[in-house]
Amino acid sequence: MMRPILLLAVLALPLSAMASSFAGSSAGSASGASSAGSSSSGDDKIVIDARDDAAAFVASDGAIRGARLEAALLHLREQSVAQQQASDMVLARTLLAR
Amino acid sequence: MRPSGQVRRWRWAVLVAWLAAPWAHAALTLELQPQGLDPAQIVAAERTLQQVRGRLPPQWQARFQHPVQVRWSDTLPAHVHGRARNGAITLQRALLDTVKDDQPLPRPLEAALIHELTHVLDRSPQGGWSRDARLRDLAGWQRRPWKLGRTANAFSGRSPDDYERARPAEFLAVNAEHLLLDPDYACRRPAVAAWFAEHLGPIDHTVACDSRLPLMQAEEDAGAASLLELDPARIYAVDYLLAEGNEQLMSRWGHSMLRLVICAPGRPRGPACRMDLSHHRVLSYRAFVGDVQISSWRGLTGSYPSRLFVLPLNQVINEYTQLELRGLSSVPLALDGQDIAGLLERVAQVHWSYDGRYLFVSNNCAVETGKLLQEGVPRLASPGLNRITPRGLLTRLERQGVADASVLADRAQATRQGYYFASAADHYQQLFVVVPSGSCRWARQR
Repeated sequence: MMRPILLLAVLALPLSAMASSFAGSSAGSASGASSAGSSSSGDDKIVIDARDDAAAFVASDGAIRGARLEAALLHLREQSVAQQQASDMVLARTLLAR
Repeated sequence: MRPSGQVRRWRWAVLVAWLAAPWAHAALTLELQPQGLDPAQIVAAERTLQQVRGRLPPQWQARFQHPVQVRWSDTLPAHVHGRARNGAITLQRALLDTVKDDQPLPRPLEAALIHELTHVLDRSPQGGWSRDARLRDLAGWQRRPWKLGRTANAFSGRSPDDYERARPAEFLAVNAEHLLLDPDYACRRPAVAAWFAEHLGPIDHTVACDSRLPLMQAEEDAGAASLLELDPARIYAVDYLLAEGNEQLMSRWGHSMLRLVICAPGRPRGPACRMDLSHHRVLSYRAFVGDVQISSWRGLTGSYPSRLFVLPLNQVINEYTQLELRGLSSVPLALDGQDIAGLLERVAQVHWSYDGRYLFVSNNCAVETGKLLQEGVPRLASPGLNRITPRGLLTRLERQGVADASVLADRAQATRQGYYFASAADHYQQLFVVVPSGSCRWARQR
């Protein structure tokens, strides 16, 4: 099963903290969590933004449902008929596999 | 019945005519004082008075109760173009020598006369517009918390004439110059132009303005920025975004921000826009720190500039919930389309011209966000939103009936609908509860 691996992935997020009403010259730091590199425009962006939420959803057996996952599910179901039939859990896993 | 009705109507007409009479008579008369002028200068001066009088809208002219004398002098200091004293105007005589017969009047000359005429009007018994609270809000003399008066004007960026920040009366006069001489003034400062129209009378030149507002937004890659051309018509709602506090000194009391619920291109304004999370933007006041380390002393004494940042919502969620382990609450504000347009216009002005100082206590994020809200949405200005903690500001908004925190009542639903973004620490906690059972099952299956 994927769960322990996912748990590790979620726990591996950087834990450092900085005073947040203060910005460096770069207007805040970028998150280390979302995967960078690939194109982050349009459709992909919604999916990439939802990864952390999807990981938490799968790892918690559906208990944690974040809004970004919700937005991505809506988006995926708008896109194709096949995905309208799939369950939330299946879609969340698909989302992580992308 | 009929004759008596007619008489009554006549009586009304007479009454209205009698009431309107002083207004009809009171019109602007400019009296030229020709002492010390040569014939060519007299011609130029008369042309100036006539032309500038024509620039003033009829309602402005009707406000002058007395004729205004215009003198020309060589004794004014070199950097002063004109002065208004006791309802009379003195202008620099050298300005007349710049007038050419076959060319339009030089702008400094027209501007100087409009400027001084505005002073005369403002100081007349019917005047006093420069004392108007809304004008001071718009101009940038901002209210301090605890009703401690107003701050100095920190809206120094991109001012057409820095003299406007000297005093509210000068702000009025300088802006009157630009209002009457620049056809696109209403596009550059729509809120001030609307204030003039409301208080002094409408201006008839209409220019089609671009409704989009340019804002520099931080990109998700560190250091990158891009220009966001934001159309207020695409904003469905504005939320008060509150980051919970943590143990750090600078963030103990939380952080207040505003979230713009922007609809995806092509989607009509409606509740569905709440799920267009990747298009939402966050307005956040932050101290602009160039150093590696933050100094508390410098924070207390105001050495850091306070700037209004525009950030993608996704970045803000990651930054707070994952890096800092702080939850975010997003509380909808009851603002209509017009409120939102006014607020956004203020946002653009603050974003480009404001150069304030960040102060831990008296000018922190909550104070700044409160000022932004009450300056952008005038109906929130009384009794005001001057609160020094982010939670205090939220409570104030709730009491005024502007914020509705009931969306947060059910935490799971709020998380799902994007009103609450839980700290990753909460998730870890939840996962620790789930995992033992999960790993047992995993072991059994193997």
